[in-house]
Amino acid sequence: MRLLKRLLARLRNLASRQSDDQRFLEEMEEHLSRLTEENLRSGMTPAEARRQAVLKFGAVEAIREQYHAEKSLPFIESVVQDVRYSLRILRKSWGFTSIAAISLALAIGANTTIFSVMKRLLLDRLDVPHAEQLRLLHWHGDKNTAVTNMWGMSDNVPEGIGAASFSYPAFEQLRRDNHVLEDLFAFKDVGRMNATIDGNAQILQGELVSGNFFDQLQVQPQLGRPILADDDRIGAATVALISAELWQRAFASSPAVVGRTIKVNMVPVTIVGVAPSAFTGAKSVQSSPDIFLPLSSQPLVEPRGKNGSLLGASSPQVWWLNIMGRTKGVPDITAQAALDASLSAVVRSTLRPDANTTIPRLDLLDGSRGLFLSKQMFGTPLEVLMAVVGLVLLLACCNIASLLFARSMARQREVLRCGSPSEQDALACCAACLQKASCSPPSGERSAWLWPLPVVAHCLHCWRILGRHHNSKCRSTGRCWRSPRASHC
Amino acid sequence: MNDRADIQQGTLALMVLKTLDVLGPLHGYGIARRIEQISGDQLALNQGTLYPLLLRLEQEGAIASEWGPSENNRRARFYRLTRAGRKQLQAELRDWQQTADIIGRFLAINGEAGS
Repeated sequence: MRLLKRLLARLRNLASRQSDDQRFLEEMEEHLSRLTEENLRSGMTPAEARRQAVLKFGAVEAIREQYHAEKSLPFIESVVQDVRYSLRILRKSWGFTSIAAISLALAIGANTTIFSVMKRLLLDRLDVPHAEQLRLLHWHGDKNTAVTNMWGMSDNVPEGIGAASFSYPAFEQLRRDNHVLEDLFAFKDVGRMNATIDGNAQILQGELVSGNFFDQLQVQPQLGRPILADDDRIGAATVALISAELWQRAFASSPAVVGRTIKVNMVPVTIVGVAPSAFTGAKSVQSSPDIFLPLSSQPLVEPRGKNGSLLGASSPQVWWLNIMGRTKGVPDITAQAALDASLSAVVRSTLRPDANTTIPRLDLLDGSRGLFLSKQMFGTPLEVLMAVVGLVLLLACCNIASLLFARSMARQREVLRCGSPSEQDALACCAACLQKASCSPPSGERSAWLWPLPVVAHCLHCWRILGRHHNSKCRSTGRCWRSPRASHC
Repeated sequence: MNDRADIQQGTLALMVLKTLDVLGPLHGYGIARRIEQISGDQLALNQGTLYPLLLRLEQEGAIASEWGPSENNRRARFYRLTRAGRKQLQAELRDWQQTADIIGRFLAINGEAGS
């Protein structure tokens, strides 16, 4: 309690900068004059009386310093002093300061920018609960693979071709056979759709989703209800869930949007809910479809293939659906083998491969970032770019380190001239470095770990100079400034 | 001069508190004089060292101080014990008494063994 009171009082004094020792000087003067009077009464000469009084009082400067140290917190004060001192030095050589600040600012700024882009494109996960559990189904085959007709992106793998698309019969079969993942769900980004809202034509990005899509992603709409398994039956009334962005843009966030009917590719569709604002669907992290429709509406809103329908057993040749599932603890390698077996079965039964064609093999990939097309498109360029800006930052640091080195050579003479160096000098050097580093970054949140580099370099250098000088000083005087504080300059 | 004892760490504060308790509000010179008188000039006290101590006690809340006219009509800073200081004094006196008793007993044993 007493310690706390004392600390508070000292902090108060420090904050209010009550460093004047007027009170002490006055009290000391009073004390000395009384001692002198006493000595005079005992018969000393005035000069001797005063001398004895001062002797009795003790070493004035030491006591004064003690008094001052008691009054506030000397360590903090000296740090503040050092910071001020080094600020003065930096202001004096504003050319150096601004060059250092600008080069660091540019380097750190570039790093931050590139890193933000990289984070958005390569690191962020889908905004659904436990995105890390999601697995994406993918297959690969050689040149003679049985799968020939695809709607969507395919990627070139070394031995031939691969894609994350499956036919509807394959989805149904895999879903039926699956006991290694949670229930499989499917989705398909259908791209641009023509919509008519309140008589206004609009172009919307659409995504077809299976009836268990929202259930498996564990996403609850912010308004209304999600698309349910019942909506995903052939013959069910066509419903849709709209994105928060479309809700705001086209319906002014009106709660009355649930139950409204709009036309999508000339088909009347009833809106049943609004997705949460951060939800971007399952395909990508960067952008959200405007409208989610059940798979069962595909023959109406996006007719393709024979008879327009890709559902049921009608078009097993067209591979178009993206399939995901949450892992439920079964090792991925086991799950992949099990799903691969059912994929082979469904390919044999639906595509009837002849002797020249091969069966595609299934891969289970990380689905936490959707299809992760941005990795294929930007992965390598971004990594190269990141490395380059990292190098730029390193260069800037080296630059400043060498500038500081040159400056500290000048300081070296100063230090030597003024006699024995003290911790104060070392602190002043360090404070200057720290300011250099801290005044420059505009928003270096991510690359902040790099800025101590020039500081460390410079501090080491300072320490070496001081140390070298110290050693020679110690030899000549037998005193050491590092442990007990010895004489100061 | 050589047989004058240095003041043990921590005991000066106790002396100051006790002095203020007995004599009431007093200035720094008065406290120093009193301590020397009571000790029978046995203590080697640099009187100036009292002032940092007084400041510390004040910041701890054990004493309070204000300017006032001294006996010879000059301005002096008078220190007085606060309620918290009185409590602190009681506690420290108890501790000191206890320590002194224990040490006393030990020394007594040694004395008996020696005789």
